[in-house]
Amino acid sequence: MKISSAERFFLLLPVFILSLLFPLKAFSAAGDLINSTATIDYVIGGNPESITFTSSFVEDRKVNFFVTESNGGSAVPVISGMTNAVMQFTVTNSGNAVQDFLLTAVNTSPNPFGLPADNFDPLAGSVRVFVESGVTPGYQPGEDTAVFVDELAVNASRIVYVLADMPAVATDDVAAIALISQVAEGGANGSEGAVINADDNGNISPAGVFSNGASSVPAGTPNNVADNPATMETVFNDPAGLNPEDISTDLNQDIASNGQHVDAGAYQVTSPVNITKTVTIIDTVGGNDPHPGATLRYQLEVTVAGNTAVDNLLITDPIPANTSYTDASIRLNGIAQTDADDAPTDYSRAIDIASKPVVSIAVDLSQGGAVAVAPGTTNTIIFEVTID
Amino acid sequence: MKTIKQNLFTTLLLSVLALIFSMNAYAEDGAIRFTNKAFKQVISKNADGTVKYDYVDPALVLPEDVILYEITFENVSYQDISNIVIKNPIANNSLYRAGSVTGDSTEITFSVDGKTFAAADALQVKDKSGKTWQAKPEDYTAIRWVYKKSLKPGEKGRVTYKTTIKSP
Repeated sequence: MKISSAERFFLLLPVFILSLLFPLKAFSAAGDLINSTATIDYVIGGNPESITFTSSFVEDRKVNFFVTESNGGSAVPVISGMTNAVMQFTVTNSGNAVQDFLLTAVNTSPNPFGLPADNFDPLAGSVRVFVESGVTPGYQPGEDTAVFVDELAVNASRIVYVLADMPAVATDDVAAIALISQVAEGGANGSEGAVINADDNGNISPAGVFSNGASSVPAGTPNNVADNPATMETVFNDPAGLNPEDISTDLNQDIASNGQHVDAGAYQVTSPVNITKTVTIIDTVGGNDPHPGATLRYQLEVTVAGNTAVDNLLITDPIPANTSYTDASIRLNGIAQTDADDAPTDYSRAIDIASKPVVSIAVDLSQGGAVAVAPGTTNTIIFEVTID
Repeated sequence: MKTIKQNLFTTLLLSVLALIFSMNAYAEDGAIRFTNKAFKQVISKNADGTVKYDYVDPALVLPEDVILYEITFENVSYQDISNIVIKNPIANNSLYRAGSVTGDSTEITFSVDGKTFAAADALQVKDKSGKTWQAKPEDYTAIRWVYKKSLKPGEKGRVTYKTTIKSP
């Protein structure tokens, strides 16, 4: 029989409808009835006979999940007074059922990356948690608005962002932050599932306030349900927090099988603008010996940290003693600059180029105040001098 | 009203479950008394440090737990019974454990499609590219025991095997 595509559509329609009715079944083994049907065929008095016998039991729910700090294994650079500094974590469901996960971020100590020591906290009440929506990678204020991890499938992960506002702090100050994840029922799509703060094996979760203050969860009450082959029991199997900084809200170490998992990251204060300077020696015979007449090529890498653009960013660098500026040697991001103060032709100049000697070079990265230098950008300035 | 409906549903569900799990401990047709029981393997250590295996009711079963299936058959008739063949598909959410099958006086074969049975080393599977490989124990979908003798009145036989509950 040849089956047309229309016929195939109608043949597969019930399967499709069933898959809509039970969309998560494929990802969730907890609660499944595990059936083993044995058959015995035999012959008695010349007659073939057959008996079957089925043994059944229910696969119970293993709650297992973990939080990992995911900022490349180092502190998140922030600047003093920065708002909405983003720290990233990942929550992974390694249990056998679809679950929701409640979230909260708390101040902790020590610095999970060692030194410098944790020595400040973000502004009180400023620490918030949002979940990646999956639409646009990276934290997007308009998109990533969920405050709990919804319907996390078995073996699936979701990115979680912690946001915090920094007080006035000094360079290299550190604020350690722990993200606590608490297991909850998968529940309905889009709604926060009921917290699971006790399993059926006597394990409980500590109390906590989750979902940016919206969900206050009491500590669980130990609950020992008799194991039954016919019903699904829930067992906490989550690992302990690995590090001493993985502090839970009750200020106890995150222990194994408490329905919570914790990992910590840190903010570390950096200067808003960082400059690194390198020099290359080019001697007159093609080597790198700094003899008189040799050229020194200076390279400045100017980076803007934090998440706020910088205004009026003017870079000046004096010409070293016993050297002379090489005319027309300034380059900005590979583009030759004039020595004259001739904006808007360009915004670089060699100061005293007309009267000589040149005392310093200046590059106005803000182009006379017209441009705010965006965070994350790097500008490369090169100029040359010769040794007198 | 909704609550009553829910209660009714719950009661119905529970009674269905009760039916399933209150089934007789064996099936019998006047000739053979047949059982198929699942046990969870629990490993502990004796005081002297040796490993101890216990087999308990599968009341709490989580991924990676090991299940022992024990199938027994007893001739409860007054006649000899011949041509005994037992077949058992591997349960859902479960993987056969290599080398775990037992069965005195039986010829044991496996299947990867539930229809054709062969010795372990003669079973083949095809991968996505169409290449043929010798089947691995986790590929098995069924086990078959062919009892090589006739079962006299009052005689019993027993076969067993183990599975692992699949990891999520």
